[in-house]
Amino acid sequence: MESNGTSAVSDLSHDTKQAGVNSYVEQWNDYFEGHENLIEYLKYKTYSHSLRRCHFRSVCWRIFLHCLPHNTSEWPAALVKSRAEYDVIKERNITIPNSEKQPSNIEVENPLSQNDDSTWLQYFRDKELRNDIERDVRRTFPEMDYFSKEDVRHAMENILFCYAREHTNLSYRQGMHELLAPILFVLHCDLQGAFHTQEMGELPLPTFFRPIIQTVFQQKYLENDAYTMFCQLMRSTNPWYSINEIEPELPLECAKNNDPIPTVPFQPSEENNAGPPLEITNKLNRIHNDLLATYDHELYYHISRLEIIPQVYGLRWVRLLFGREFDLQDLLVLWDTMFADSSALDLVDYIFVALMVNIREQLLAADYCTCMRILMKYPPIEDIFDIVHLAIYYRDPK
Amino acid sequence: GIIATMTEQRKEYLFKVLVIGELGVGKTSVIKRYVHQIFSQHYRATIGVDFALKVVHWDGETLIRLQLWDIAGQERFGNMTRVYYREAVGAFIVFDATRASTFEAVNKWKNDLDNKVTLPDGRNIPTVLLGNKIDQMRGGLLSNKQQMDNYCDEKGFVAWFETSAKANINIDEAAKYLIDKILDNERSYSRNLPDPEALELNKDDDEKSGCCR
Repeated sequence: MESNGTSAVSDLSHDTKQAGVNSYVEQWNDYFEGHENLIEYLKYKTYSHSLRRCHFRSVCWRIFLHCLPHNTSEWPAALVKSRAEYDVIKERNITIPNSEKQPSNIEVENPLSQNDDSTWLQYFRDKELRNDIERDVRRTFPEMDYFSKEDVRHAMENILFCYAREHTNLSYRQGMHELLAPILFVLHCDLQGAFHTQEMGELPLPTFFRPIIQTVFQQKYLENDAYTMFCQLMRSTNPWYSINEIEPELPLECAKNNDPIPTVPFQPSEENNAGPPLEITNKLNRIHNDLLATYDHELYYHISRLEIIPQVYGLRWVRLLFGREFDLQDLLVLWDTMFADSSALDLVDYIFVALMVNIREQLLAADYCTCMRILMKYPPIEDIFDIVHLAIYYRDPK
Repeated sequence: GIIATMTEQRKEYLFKVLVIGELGVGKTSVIKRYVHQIFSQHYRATIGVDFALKVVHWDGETLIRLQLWDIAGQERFGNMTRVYYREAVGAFIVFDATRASTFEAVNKWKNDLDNKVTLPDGRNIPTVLLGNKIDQMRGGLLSNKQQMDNYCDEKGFVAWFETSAKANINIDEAAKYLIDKILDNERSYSRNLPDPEALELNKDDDEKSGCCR
């Protein structure tokens, strides 16, 4: 997927180069210009499997995730704003105590200070957080060269660190790094595409498009743009990482009348079975008990009888948005659809069920250990669109 | 939990063993070394829990199926461990011998474990402490063995080992030690519980998770 660098470009004939530039521009116009309802058109492009061959996947994602407004003419201003916001966030959070300047209050500002206002104390606390992040960033998609580059790792660390500091009730949780990685990667690929196109020839764009395309694709803002997208994605995924226990919901009637809670006739016998009262537990139990039971009762019954609970295999599926179950190209296709469908990621539950049903025969024939092995290491799929279509069908049976 | 079936003197067991400890101490590496005899620098971070199986031919008449549950370093927060610990009969707590903070957290993991899972008779499950990445230690070994022994006595570990998944040091030995302890417990049940009710329970268990047949 890496581009081969500049040498390949200079070998091409002038005509070939111009054809490349033209098709690039055509695609841009097709995707973003002159649509009455841009987002509907982009959804249509996504569902017709076009994003795989699109030079602007990252732009589509940004629109789906509400990082860019629907009107292209508003993009430069929106980008200037979001990029500046990240610069401020980074400035605020990535502070190295100033050792050159004599601090005004040496009692507070020294490396041994335990004072809560001390930038040094904060610095040492941050160091632990940064170490945890670094440890996971170094283990991100280890088979891909892109993620072993120092500048890429550094950008990931900065983004995750800033996110953690800006969201102190969640901080950094393992797995977030693998939500960030595909975002950086699609941004990188599109930047490469833009870079090579501009190298091949002058963009024959009307003058009012050129500033837009040039503002969108700027290498120096890769980290800024990735942060903005990551934050938007985390708005939906944040609850699935949360470790704050939620209050059990009272039956509506009792809550209204302040009545004592009636004893439930069939309280789950083993409360351990249900897992801790977290958002992620509720979500997984709902998928298993409501959706799977509805769409494939035989499979639901089989898995339940083996006492395989969804927290065991499904936690990773949901937290990483299925990032470990497919290779990256298939994963990007899955994310295309998921983001296009809704930035609230409602499709996750249905993809989950589709994944289960897709391997139902293997699961139904298997005992506990084999089921566990299959679920913990999902077998290779033939066509990612099978899963996508099944999920969409479950969501909206027609 | 523990299922034993007897076929002409041959005994088969299924044991669920936990591998826990702080983020990045090498839990996955220890398991991969033990199960597949390999080591890589490039394992991804475990999210939630992972699962591996190893069949151990313990002696001529005993076959053990080990289910190794590899639990992500951050999962101690949020109580998901309660779900993952269920029916475990043994555990490794791993720390990184080159990072003091991971040793300081050992106690937290031990408490978490003892609070959430016990053997059927109420005792804590046998737990072995592993000081991993010993190949990266300058002196090669943890400095004060007496201190470590005392620590293990005090905290209720059955043993401790210095290990290296990378250099393949002591992983098999530690596993053997733990299995031996689990078998001891197992044998003490079969001596103490010959009553029909226990047999009935066993049968029930067998039906639920019939993967050792």
